[in-house]
Amino acid sequence: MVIDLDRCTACGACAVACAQENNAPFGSPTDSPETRVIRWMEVLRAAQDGNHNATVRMIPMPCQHCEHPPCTKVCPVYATYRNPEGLVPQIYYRCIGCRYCVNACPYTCKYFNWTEPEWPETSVRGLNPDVSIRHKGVTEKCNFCMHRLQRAKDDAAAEGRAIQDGDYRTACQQACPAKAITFGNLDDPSTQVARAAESPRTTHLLEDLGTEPKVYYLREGA
Amino acid sequence: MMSQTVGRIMLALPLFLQACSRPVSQPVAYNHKVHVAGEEMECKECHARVEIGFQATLPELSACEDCHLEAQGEGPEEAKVVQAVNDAEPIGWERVYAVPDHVFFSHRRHVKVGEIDCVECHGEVRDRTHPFTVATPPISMSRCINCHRAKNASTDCAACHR
Ligand code: SF4
Repeated sequence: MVIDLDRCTACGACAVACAQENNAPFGSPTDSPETRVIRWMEVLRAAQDGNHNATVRMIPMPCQHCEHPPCTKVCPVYATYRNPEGLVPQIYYRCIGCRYCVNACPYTCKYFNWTEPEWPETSVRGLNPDVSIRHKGVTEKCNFCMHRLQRAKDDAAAEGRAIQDGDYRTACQQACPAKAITFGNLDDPSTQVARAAESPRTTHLLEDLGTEPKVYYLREGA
Repeated sequence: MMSQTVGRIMLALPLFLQACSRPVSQPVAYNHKVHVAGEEMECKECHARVEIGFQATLPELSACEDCHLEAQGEGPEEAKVVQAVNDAEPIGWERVYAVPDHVFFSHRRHVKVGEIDCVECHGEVRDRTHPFTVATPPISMSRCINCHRAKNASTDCAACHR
């Protein structure tokens, strides 16, 4: 995934679309001060200078799907792992809720379900049947809308062709009005996302940790 | 918390198994053998969405309509179907196969893409003279995994669980 910070206006559409697509509960008024609101995609604030006139930068932050993910190394039950495609799934029914991974993730992308998810009755009909509901006691995170990928693969296979670039988009990508998000196969140099990742503006978050995130950020204005 | 979670899984497990094995009663004593072996009908003629959707879907009234506007025989069970067709009153078939919420199973992927015959999972349906009241043979993760291994299909957890 490539996120162009020059295009991003921090409107938050990605976060809303993600929560809707992936059945994230809204969170109660007590969840927020306890930092227990679950947002797989969140627009984080990063102050650029330490003084009172600080410029605030807004950074959309999904799971970085690290090439060397610290979260998987600490999981005692193989509930989170790096799969052959290079994604880092989270298998909720394996998760025993130990929260080692939540602490290991340097990007704070893992969320623990402290309570059973709740929605107002009018919203229940809007839940996505393609995505399971996570219950109390398990950890969850962004999975790059893997259900959409699976569906696109099935569509392609049913039509007897290989999956192509652009066959599927993540929910955040689809919702972004500024088209700041590009998604696809980074290993295939012909894809849009691979071309975007070659930009001289490319940067990773916390690069010195050696996690090799697969979310590439394009710096502003360079 | 951890023990709570483990406890929850252990509590849910027998419930799940029970839910899968509790027999249902079907509104009509449907005979697969007469249709599949006798009339040489294909499964997808009645389970219409098997190649396009996640679920194979239970037969709709329109599937019965073609042949049962009038009675073909004299059985009392068929009479119920003819009645239902003429009244345009759907037959309330009970579902017997279901996977838990955290399992994703696509019929299209197996039947259309993988070209797997229905009997590989559902057994010799063509020999059944009685309707399904329980999932026979029952589905289990070990059956899925054995088949996936044998056919070199993905055993990545995320392929089925999400
Ligand atoms: S960003 Fe965090 S949760 Fe995602 S793969 Fe890396 S360590 Fe794991």
